[in-house]
Amino acid sequence: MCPNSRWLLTTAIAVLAMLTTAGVSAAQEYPGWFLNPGALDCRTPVVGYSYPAYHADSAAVLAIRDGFINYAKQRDLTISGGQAFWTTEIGMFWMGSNFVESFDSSRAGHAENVLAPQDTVFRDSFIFTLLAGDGCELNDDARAMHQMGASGQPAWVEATPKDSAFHYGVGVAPQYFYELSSWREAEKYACRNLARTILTSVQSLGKLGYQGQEIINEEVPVRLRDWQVAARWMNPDEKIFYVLVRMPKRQRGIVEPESVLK
Amino acid sequence: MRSFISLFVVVALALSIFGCGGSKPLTQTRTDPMPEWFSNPPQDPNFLYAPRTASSRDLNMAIEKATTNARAEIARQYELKVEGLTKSFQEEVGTDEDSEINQLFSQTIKTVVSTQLMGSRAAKVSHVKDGMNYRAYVLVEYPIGAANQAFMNALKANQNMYTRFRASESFKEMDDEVQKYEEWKKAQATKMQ
Repeated sequence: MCPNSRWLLTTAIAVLAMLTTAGVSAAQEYPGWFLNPGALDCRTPVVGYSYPAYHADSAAVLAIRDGFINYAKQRDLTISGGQAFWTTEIGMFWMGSNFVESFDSSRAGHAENVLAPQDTVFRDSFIFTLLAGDGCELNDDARAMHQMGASGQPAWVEATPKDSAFHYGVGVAPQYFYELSSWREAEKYACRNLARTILTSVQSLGKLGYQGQEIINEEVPVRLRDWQVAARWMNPDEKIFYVLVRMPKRQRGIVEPESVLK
Repeated sequence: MRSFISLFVVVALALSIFGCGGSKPLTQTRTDPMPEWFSNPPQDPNFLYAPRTASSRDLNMAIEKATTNARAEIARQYELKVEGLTKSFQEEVGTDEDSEINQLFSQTIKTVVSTQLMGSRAAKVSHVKDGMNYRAYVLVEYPIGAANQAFMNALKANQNMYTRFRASESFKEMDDEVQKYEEWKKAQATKMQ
């Protein structure tokens, strides 16, 4: 083989390898603390995410900082705004939305004194770390890696739990290039659904006649306090990510719709 | 230069080979059956239920559309219930054209139905891939007791009318529903302990 053809072959193999390995690498194994944070015997467990960095310790620091921000959100998060839909005979169309999430970011600084990293998992596509208050001890099951799909779909995925202790919200997200984006989107929608359970304002303007049409507007002026992620799950076949969040029902000043509206 | 051309040819070849993914069918018909709770929603005198479905290329948009539509349906159902109650109250007190009653009830309906749905929840959510789209099925439930409680609280703003309403059969009917709801809440709390 002449040098040129050898070079050509090497290049072809490299290109082929590049093309076949490109895409989302999803190792579908997660530690128990990530899948069931609600079952942990820890004070204020929070998970922080970050994208991979050249230096692993940089990524871990970013994940810890993200955890501090999530801590601040979980203490007090105001969700306000709404969205409108236009319904006609041929379907329902989205008209627009203006949801806003706001929280006191100065609490993130306070989190440094309250939380400590408990465990961190490094993946090709993202890094996630568990932070919790002092005295948190993870048992073997919490540290063990669980294969997605091995134990079937949890019940909360289809039927939102209902009990007298907590309000619940479930959020879903499809698979994105970065897995982190999927988990974040699922969490965002879970919080929004939790807020809707507490208070939703619905206005509907219908017109029936030659053409039937309706405009539906919904608004959510809710403040979530001391909510937490209770569980996460991923459907390995359909590549759908699920997050369950909950907030205690009996707590002073959970919802302040009036003050938010004004 | 020659090596650059060779590399270009290899990359172009690789892209042309892997870029041809073959043709995909334009439409795929969903074959999964719709959820049982969607075609046959639960019946419970203590709750209003609204099953709705919607589709979108975006999974969350499909769920949002179905959920919002279901909440609007819940609001309509409750509005009808309160309108029925208003009529029976008017018949009972014999004031069909009492503008004060009409105004009070319509305002209260607006307050309770159009601006506050407290405790409505997407009890069940299911989604399937429907061709290029996602189809979401949602069942929203709303406890009637909670709604009645909110309704009565809003009525209390007009003390004079509330006193008249309290003496009616319609009030007793509504109050029974509120009591049932309170008992249900207590039972749920006991279950948890």
